This record gives sequence, structure tokens and C-alpha cells, in this order.
Amino acid sequence: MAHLFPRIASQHSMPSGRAWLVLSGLAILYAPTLWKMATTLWNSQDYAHGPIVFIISVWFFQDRLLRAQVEERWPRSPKAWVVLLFGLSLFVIGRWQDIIIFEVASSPFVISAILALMFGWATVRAVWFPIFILVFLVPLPGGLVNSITLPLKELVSVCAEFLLGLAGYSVARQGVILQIGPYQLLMTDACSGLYSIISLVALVSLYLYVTRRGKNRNIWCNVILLASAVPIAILANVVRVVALALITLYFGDAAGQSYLHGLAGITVFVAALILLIVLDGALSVARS
Amino acid sequence: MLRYRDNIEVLIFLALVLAALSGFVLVPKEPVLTKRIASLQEVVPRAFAGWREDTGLQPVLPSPDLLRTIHKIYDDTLTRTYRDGSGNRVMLVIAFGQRQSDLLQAHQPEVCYFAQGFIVETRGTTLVRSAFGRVPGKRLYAVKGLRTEPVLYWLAVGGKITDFGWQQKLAQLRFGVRGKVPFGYVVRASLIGPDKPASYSILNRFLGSLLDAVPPRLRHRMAGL
Repeated sequence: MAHLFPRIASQHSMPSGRAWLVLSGLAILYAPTLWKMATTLWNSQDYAHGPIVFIISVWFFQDRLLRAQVEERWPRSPKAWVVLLFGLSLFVIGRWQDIIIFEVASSPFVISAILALMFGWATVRAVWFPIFILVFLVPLPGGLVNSITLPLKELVSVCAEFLLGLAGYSVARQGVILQIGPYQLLMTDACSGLYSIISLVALVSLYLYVTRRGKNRNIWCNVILLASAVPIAILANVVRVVALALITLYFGDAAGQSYLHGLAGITVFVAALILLIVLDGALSVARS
Repeated sequence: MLRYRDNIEVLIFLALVLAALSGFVLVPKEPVLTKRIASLQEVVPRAFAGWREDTGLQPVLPSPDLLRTIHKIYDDTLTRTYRDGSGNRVMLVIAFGQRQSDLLQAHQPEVCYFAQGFIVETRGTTLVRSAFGRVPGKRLYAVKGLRTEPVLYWLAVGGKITDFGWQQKLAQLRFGVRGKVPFGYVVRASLIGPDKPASYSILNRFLGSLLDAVPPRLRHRMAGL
């Protein structure tokens, strides 16, 4: 497994002149998709992780590709042509029928197929991570978002109410409205933390990828950590809502709102990261 | 002779450019509605069948932070309250979007209400009767504190009644395969009152009369009649 990520730079210098031809083809194909996402989806808080995931993917991609050992150039791989055809069809159907999910989801297929055609499947495996995290760029279908957001919001409200009540504050909750002191807090969609779950799963993947390289990897530890991203994100959101409630209670509505639009997002991530590292530490202690 | 190995990058490049080009050619561009249509404010009558515009009650609107998105999604919205002779007040919201696409499409009233802090329950479907035909509408019951609000709404995409979710996407696909982008209407009526059949039948009667009163073109676009 350690050979998956060789640190020795290979003698082959990858970006030959013709590789640039392929790169420009990719740019022609995906530039409109990126532009569409950058001007719509990525403007909303929900998909704020989009550009970050993209940059991480590109960075790891060039980094891993330059280090990859190429065994054979231009191997004949009919399978790769099939994958390329599938990916490009997905893209065209997505454009044709205006299904952005297809358009974005085509990218891992197209990119893996091209790499396989140029450098073989071993190279695809060497850059699996940047290809894999492209999945986090795929927007969720609206219906799914709606059906998950509502119950999540309620769950976060219930947990926040419980914690505040435990701490001795008098809180009342109706639906997604928390009443604390003279203030009413309305959970917005952002409070559901659905999107923090997605960004957090992406973050955990990155964390595992970066910290587990070289070391002996325990697959179950990784699975547990990855799965725990969901409860951790929910818990981190509860922390955010509780913080918002307390700031509003002690410093007033204006302070609460400015917190909400400023530090709140960071609170979630710091809280989530701390929980993650603690859990990771606990797991490795439990193992040894 | 051309060798496969020497030209593989060129082949890949051609495949990519071909896909990009077909994407450009095939992308649905043309909206079904091309000409400018009169604003809902002008076209929807302020008085009809015993109903008269009333200023004083605000229907539930999306939160301010969502309004920016709303302006992107909808090209025209109408928010109005009507009152009849027996003192019934009905809040009407009509939202029109010229281009129903994956990223810009009409929003479900359930979600709007819930986002405003209401608890929303579904109350099945009902047929709204107008002189020109019947329209299947969905009933909701929304509660926030002491405010209880029976709701009746429908969604029409491209002049056909449809439902939110995959059916909405399917309605778009029907136009998409012909290279067209459909328009969409959400028509919603609600009142503040109990969760009783009487409340829903007021809404039903109101929307039926509204359909009778609006110009035929608008009736066709927003209810498929």
C-alpha cells in the first residue's frame, strides 16, 4: 500500500507538449460548467466548499501526477475508451437536458479515462484522491436536500433546546423557532448543517488522506472516522446554535446577527475539527 | 501511416472538443415564452366574484436573506390579500419564472413555510373547480404560534399542472428534448383560520373564481386551462 504514494519524483516529465493539448480539451469541456457553478451555486453559503474542493483537487492532482511512476505510456485499453465514452455521454446528456448533476458527475469518469489512456490504470490509482473528491462538487438534487434539511433542522433545534435547558436556561421551542429570554431564534436552512455534513465528509477524507499516508492504515478506523463526520457535523451545528442563542441572550440581537454572518461558520469548523482530532486520538489509543 | 500511439492525445482532444461542441449545440436555450408578458400586478384583477383587494394582511414570504435568490428564480411575483362580503380574507401569491432549469426553478411552498418557522402538515389534494375546468391542488396546514394557516397551491410548468420533485424535472425534460426551456407558475392561496374543511373550501372557491376572472392567456399559462 505504501507504494501507492511514491515520494520519489519520476524521471518521466509528464506534461509533454501533447499533454497540453489534452489539458486544453478538458478546459474547453469544463470551463462552462465551472463558470455556471461559480456564478450560481458557489455564491450561496451552502456550496461555499465548492471552490475549496476544486482547488484542493487540482493541487493534489498535479502534485501526485508529477510523482507517479509511469510503467507504460499509451497502453492499449479499450476499457478506458468505454469509460471515456460513458463520461462524455453523461456530460452531453447533462448539458442537453440541463441536469447539472450529470454534467459535474461526468468529470471523474472523463479524467480517469484520459489518464488511463495516456499513462495506464496504475497512474489513475496513484491520483485516486483528487479524482475522488470531485464527487463533492456534485450538487445534491433539490428534492433530496428538502427532504433531509427539514428533519435535520428540527434535530438541531431539539438538541440545542436540550443543552440550553440542561444549562439552566429557560428555553421553549416550537418547530424550528427557539425562544430564549425575550428573543426568538429562527433556524434557517443553513442551521440544518446539511452542507456542513458534506464539507465535513470532504474535510475528513482530506484529513485521512494526508495523515494516513505511509503509516500503517487501519481500514476500520478510517471507516469509523468517515462515518462519524455526520454526527460530528450535527453536533458542531448544535454548538453553533447554542453559541448564537447565548450571544443573543447576553449581547443582544445585533451581536447575534453579526456573529451569525461572521464567526458562526468558523465555529462549526473549529468545533468539528476538534471533535474529529479527539475521536482520532481516542481510536488510536483504543487500538494500541 | 498514422500510428495509434502517436495520435492518442489528438484523439482524446477531438473527443473532448466534440463533446463540448455537442453540449453547446444541444443546450436548451430558447424559452417557450419569448415575448414580454404583462406583469401579474396589472393582469390579475383587484376585484372579482365578490372578492376585493384588501391591504392589511401580509402573506408568508421568504426570509430577507432568501429574497436575492427569489429575485433570481422568479421573474414576476404577485402578493395580494383579498376580502369577500362575509369578511373572509384570503392571501394570494403567484410566482412566475420564465426559465425553469435545474438551478433556477420554482420553490415548494412547504419549504417556504417551514423556513419561516411554521410547522407544516400536508392535507391531501383537492380539485379546484372553475368554469373552464378543474385543477388538482395540494392542501397544507401551517402553524406558527397562534397563527394557523390552511394553504392551497399548485405548480404549473409549461402550462401543465405538475408536482414538485422529480415530476417537476420530468416536466422540464418534456420541453428539454425539444430544446426549449419551459416557464413555471406557483399559485398559492391561504387564510388564517382553523384546519377545517370550511377553510379549504373557501380557498377552493377563491382560486376557482380567480381562474374565471383572469385573462384566458394567463389562465392557460398558470393552470393549463
